[in-house]
Amino acid sequence: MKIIRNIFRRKIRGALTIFGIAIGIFALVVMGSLAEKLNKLVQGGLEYYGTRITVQDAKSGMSFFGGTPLSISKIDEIKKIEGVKNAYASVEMLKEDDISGVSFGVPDSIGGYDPDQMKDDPSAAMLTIATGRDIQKNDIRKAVLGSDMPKKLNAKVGGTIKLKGKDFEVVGVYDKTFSAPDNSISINLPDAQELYLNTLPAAFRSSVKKEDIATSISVLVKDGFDPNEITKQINEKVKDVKALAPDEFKKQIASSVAIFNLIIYAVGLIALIVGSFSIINTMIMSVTERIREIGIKKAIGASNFRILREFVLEAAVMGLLGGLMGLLLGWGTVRIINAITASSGQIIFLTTPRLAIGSVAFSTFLGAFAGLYPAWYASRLNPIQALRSE
Amino acid sequence: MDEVILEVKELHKYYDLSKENVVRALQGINLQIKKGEFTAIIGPSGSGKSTLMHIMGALDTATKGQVWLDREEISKEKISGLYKIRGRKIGFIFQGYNLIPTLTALENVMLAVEYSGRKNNAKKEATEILTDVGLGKRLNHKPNELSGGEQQRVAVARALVNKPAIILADEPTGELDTQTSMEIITLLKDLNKKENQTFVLVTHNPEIAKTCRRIIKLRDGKIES
Repeated sequence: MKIIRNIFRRKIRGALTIFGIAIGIFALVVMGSLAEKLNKLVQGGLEYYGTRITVQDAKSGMSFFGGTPLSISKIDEIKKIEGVKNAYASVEMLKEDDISGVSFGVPDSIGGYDPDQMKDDPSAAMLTIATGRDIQKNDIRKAVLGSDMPKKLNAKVGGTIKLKGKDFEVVGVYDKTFSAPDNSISINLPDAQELYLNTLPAAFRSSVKKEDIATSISVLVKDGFDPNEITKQINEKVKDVKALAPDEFKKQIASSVAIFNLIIYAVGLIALIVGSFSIINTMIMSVTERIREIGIKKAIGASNFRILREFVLEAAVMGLLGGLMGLLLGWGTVRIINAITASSGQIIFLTTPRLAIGSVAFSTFLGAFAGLYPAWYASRLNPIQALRSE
Repeated sequence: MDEVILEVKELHKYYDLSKENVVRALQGINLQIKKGEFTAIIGPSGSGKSTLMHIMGALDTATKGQVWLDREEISKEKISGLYKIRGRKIGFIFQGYNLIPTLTALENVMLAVEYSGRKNNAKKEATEILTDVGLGKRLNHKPNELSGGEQQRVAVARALVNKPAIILADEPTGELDTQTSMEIITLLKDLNKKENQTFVLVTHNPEIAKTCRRIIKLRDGKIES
């Protein structure tokens, strides 16, 4: 209480200083929420894709969707390698051929899988049904939607959606995963092969057998075998394919995410550092105004350390108050924006507990740090001279 | 009764303003204060009263000589360690009351208890002592809500609360009218009598000095009588 009273001795000055920090924390929370959402998306994707070896056509780039098709016949060759538990084809493509306009996060995609094969895949356990049912072996023109899709497509179980010009019946919706699958539509493999074939140039189409198309092959490894070793063997023994080990995959993703995070947090940090200068300024003024008081305190027995502690604490409380205020503002803003964009099926921000606690703790620490010099100056004052000052 | 509470031996204090200009504020002061004494130190301005009080009050160090307080040689302490002595063994009463403006009367007195390192009964002790000086009903008032006389009573309570070996009062009535001045002096003398509390007053008011049992006259940094 005493500390709060001291901060608000000069009400406007105290409030402005705290507001300065609040703006910094506001920026950090909003930008951080953006980064956290992205991290969560990527993390979910890593768990989803990162548990298996992904085999693509050798000419294909580092792309999850489309790329050059691969022949399903490669599966037999892959299965011959020791340590491979299972390998199955999937056909993945973007829902829209042309993604123009600004879009945040993962673009909507269509994935075709063989439901029987998926039962073995540990990553499939991540996807659970919220309403309706999952894709079954003999389904034709049936679709199960990722959790964000019903809103985007204005569809529900029992309704019909159009995929690449064909009608599909919605039979189920998955639970929310907060990652890539939320923006995807699952269909049966033969349906996906047909849709994919139609996207190929006409001249190319006749030379490809529909049943032979895959965009990637997922390889599951038996327990006790090293996925990296098996990846190496696939690359050596199977022609015209490129196998990516889970680790490699994670590394590539992690490095690009790190740079993005760095940029985002740097922006918030700069705002906060500016705010901390106003704490230094306020504390120096505060010390100058209270020199006589410091003299009194020393005369009645306060140690230098005690004086230092009082002022550092006061600065830390300013940082804390600014941090809490900034967090509240940032969190509120993020919630409002999320509420607005949620209607179009996009959630842009995610304020995680670690971000909330981290930013308040950081502003408190920064406050204390900013108060260190003024406090040190105050603690070193000569009590007699301090008592004489007016 | 005759225990010596404060003793000053051959005390010198010089201020080097520049190489050629050395101010000799105190020049060989010898002085004994016994427990329960009520002493006034008087002298014209520049006589060294304040300097002497600062050194006796452990606010400053001497150039030469010894100061013993409560059987402890405080002149041996480094300036950075003197706060402990100030907190436990010395009470100050200043001319300008010197209360912390943001704290209530009670909090001002409690602060002295906290700084002395004994936190246990700060509130109870502070309340008792404020009641003793007649401010039982003004505990939660801030200095700007109190009259000059009341503020000085808070300062007296603050000086007294740690039961110090000695209370040093620097012009304690300097900012008060005659009647209030006499009330404060009466209060100090009561405390001196009842609690056997030792007081040293620095003053240039002869009326106040006259009420003291012992008067020490200072001139040009030396004791005149």
